[in-house]
Amino acid sequence: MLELRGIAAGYGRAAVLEGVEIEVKAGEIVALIGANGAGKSTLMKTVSGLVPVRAGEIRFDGRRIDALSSAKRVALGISHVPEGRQIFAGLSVEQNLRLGGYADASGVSAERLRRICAPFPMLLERLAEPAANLSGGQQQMLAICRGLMGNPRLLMLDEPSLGLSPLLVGEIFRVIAELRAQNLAILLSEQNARQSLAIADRGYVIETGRIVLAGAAADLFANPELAEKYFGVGVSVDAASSAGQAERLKAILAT
Amino acid sequence: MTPALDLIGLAKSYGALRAVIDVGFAVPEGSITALIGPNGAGKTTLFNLITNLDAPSAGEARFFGQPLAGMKPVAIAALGLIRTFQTARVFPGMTARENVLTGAHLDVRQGAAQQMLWLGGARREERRLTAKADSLLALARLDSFADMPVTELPMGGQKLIEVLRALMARPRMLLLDEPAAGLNDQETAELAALLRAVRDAGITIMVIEHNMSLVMGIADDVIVLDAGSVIAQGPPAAIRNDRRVIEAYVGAEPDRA
Repeated sequence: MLELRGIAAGYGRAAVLEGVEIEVKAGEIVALIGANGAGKSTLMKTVSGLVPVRAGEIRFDGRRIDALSSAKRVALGISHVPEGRQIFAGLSVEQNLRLGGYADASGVSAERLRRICAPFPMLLERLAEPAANLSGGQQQMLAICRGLMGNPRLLMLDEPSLGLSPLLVGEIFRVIAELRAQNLAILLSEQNARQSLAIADRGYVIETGRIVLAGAAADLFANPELAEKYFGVGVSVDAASSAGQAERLKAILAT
Repeated sequence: MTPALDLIGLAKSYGALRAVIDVGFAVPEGSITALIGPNGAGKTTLFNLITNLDAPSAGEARFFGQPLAGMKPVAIAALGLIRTFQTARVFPGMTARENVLTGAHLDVRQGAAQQMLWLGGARREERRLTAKADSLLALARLDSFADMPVTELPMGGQKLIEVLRALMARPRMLLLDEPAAGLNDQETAELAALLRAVRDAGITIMVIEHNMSLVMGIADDVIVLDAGSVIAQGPPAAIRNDRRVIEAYVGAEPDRA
């Protein structure tokens, strides 16, 4: 459904992506694995048209879309849930949700709105409130539901679990897996690489703007090099180095 | 010993919505206290009440015994109670070093008039603060980024910059709102080491965080907020096994990772 060939992109003089080739099929979850700053968000922005490509082709259903406006890409069924929520704080929760479906001239039915928000009942309870009143995590839920309102065929989720409680992180991943069953194509970028590979079919590893590895999610998960780099086993604090840091910090703070 | 922070019956209502209900607990000096709870439980609102960004409907906060009621947020910061925000708030047009230096506005030891009249002293002051910022950047292993535009740092670096900026402000206590959000495991481990060092250097920390391995790894005490009320308080090991906490917050899996 989505195909990127030889994509290069950047900001000003800085090149962020080079020679990127990826593919996402309908009914498939594809995980983007990479460090902060590797180019995951920029890659999604080239697909939604927020960042122009400098070279290469983007095809959606076989059709070139890299010269189309963002609005046209949305109308084709591409939805992008950006990192950091980007909700309209001055609008109500319901207005934010309906904006997600603006490309559909017939509007969004109340029934559809309820169905999409069903996993997050809190949103339905607060439809009339300004979105600014929602907590950070609740705004994240709103951003995800807004991304689904337009009936997308390709959904790009940039750090969807950011700021969510562990309970809701589990819920989000369950919802994403359900969307795949509805034949959506899903591109998922997460710091939580272990959890995203656990539900993904395939994955791409991106390092300083290049795809360095691609494969089945299970194979990437079993790769010991990736495990060391991207799926550390939680946080361990080296007590000795921390003590040394504390002494240095004391000296600095006294200046 | 007087606690670093003492909350007494703090409450906040917005119309019919009771966001914070009769919250009272103390944060001992020199500890790391984690504040956890479901999204919308009132964690950030509680930080806003403590720093008077939002006025409490009832109750009060005391900082080393001093009531904070009615004080301007900047006056509270000047007492040494410094907070960071959920979304990284760096100044985009500035370098990493300049961003760290902005925290020093509470630590300039001369007024503007003095600086104009006595340039030598002002320059000395600028050198002192720049050296301090550079030492902090080196401590966090961000020295190689010092002259780069801050927005070119990875998210993890930007979050650390915020903590360093707070450290420039001569804090006695830090209030950190989700400092590990968006960080990978490696970056989270570096943040954990830095926060421990901050505590061991004598600065009290209260931190809102969803990353349970970070909370369990560094917190001395955990407070659990649900629907505006404290539902549990205790050392990490006890909180981890508390049935109410598991139901309201953690879910079936004990770890986020």
